[in-house]
Amino acid sequence: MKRREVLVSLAVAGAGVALGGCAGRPGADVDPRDPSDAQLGTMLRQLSGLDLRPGEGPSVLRSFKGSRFTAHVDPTIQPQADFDPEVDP
Amino acid sequence: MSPDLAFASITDLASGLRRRRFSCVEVVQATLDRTRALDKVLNTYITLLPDAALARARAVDAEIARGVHGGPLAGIPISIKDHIDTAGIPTTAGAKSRMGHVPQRDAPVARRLIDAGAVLIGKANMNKFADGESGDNPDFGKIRNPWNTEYSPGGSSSGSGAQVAAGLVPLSVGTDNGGSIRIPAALCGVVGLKPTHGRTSLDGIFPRLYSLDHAGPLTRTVEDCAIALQVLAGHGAGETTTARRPVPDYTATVRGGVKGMRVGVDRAYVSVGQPEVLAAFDRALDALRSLGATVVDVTLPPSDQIGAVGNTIAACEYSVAAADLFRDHPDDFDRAVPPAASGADIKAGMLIPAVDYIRATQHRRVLQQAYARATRDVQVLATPTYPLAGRPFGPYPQVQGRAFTADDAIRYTFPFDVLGVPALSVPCGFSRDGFPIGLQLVSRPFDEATALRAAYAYEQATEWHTRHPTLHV
Repeated sequence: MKRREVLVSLAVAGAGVALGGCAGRPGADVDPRDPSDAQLGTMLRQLSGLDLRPGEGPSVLRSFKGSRFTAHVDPTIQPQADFDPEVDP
Repeated sequence: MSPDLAFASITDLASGLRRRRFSCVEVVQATLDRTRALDKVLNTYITLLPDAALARARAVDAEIARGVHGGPLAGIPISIKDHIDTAGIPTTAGAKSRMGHVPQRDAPVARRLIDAGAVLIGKANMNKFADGESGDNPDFGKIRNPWNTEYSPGGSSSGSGAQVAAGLVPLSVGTDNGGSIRIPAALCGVVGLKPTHGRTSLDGIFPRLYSLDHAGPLTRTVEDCAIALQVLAGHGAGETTTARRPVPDYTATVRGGVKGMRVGVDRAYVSVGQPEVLAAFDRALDALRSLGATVVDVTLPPSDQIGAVGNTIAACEYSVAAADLFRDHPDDFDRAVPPAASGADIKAGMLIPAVDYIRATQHRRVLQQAYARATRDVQVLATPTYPLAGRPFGPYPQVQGRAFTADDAIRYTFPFDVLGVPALSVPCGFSRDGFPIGLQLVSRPFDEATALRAAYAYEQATEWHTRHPTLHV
């Protein structure tokens, strides 16, 4: 599978767990669109240089799904490059 | 060490030292003796520094003999969580693989304590990599709760909470990115303050979650907490993690009382916990009312949204912070004690798209604004600190007829790490089984003074802080 297809597959995997606008733990059950361990391993190696251990794929995918934030956010809001706890109401 | 001295406050110890009722060497020697006796069971230290502490104590005594009275912590025995850098002393972050990490410089928070005259007794045991609240470190062993050694003191500043409760030190400095100061404070029956993000320096502290980490004190009394924060707070030259804001005089306002103070409570949010915890919380509100505060209903932003934002930020930031460590020592993560992050979690964090992280920080801003609006008309917000009275090692108990989860465990603490606002835990009772329960008071950004003021008024109206665990030396 090409890198782009893997990315799409990962994106779908994450988007599948949006709950009321926000992803939250724990991740959803297995989705047929989920990447295979081989696909996940390829992407992990490309992005981090780390290898997926045998049998580790489901744990990584579950954690990945549970940790994504996929809600729609107004794109005009400034992200916080440096977190400032003080805001105007 | 006499129980009176073991459980003396910073104020009383400092006064006794100044008046030469006892020497610093006597205090430190007694502290070391008590520690050696109790820590066989409690396991609260990774590194004990008897020689350095006694040498420092002799120096303090010499200064006092010359009429020189050092800083506000002169001669006070303290401990520091073992992921805060201390020059020339191993700083492990709770991992044996880091025993060789001996910093050349003190972290600013450590330096501030030492410059204030404190005597460092040792480096406190902790959840490995400051991850989770289990109190169970696979490398350095379980840290035991002084109130019941079969139970956890909470975490991740586990040793800090247990030491303060057990009368081993009157002050320990810990860190908090999900509740790691406040949870051990609640479970050990002591005071713990997570300041505003940026109020205390994070430089020289093993990073875990950059925008969620906070350093702060654990003490036996609120006044001691104010004294400690006074020392720890503020910006120093070259620091990259502190706000350039003036630091008020916390000790000057801590006795101001709560008459006329408006205390916010979100009843829907405060719905998870063992019945004894929720009942103790209600009694604490009654006590605040009786002191002249007004308790009003507020509606906070949904906690699941705050949790979702926090989880994404946490997953990404930890995967960055732990990347080198994970590459060099992957085995360190294989034995992670739940709910600490496993190697799979670190890898997952590395896959999360940057757009998710950016959106999470955007939504954090939305939630901050919603929170500021919701609490605009109150000075403090009150919640329980931890839903359980007594945290077992291993699986959580059933609560309210359902499985209690790791997310439940940080329900009342994690949101205020995500929002970066100050939050303090003060003892508010005991369960029938003798486990302490904590009341959390949350104030506005950089307004630690109000949380301290409310906590002090409550503390002085109750007797919880006068109870100490029975431990046989």
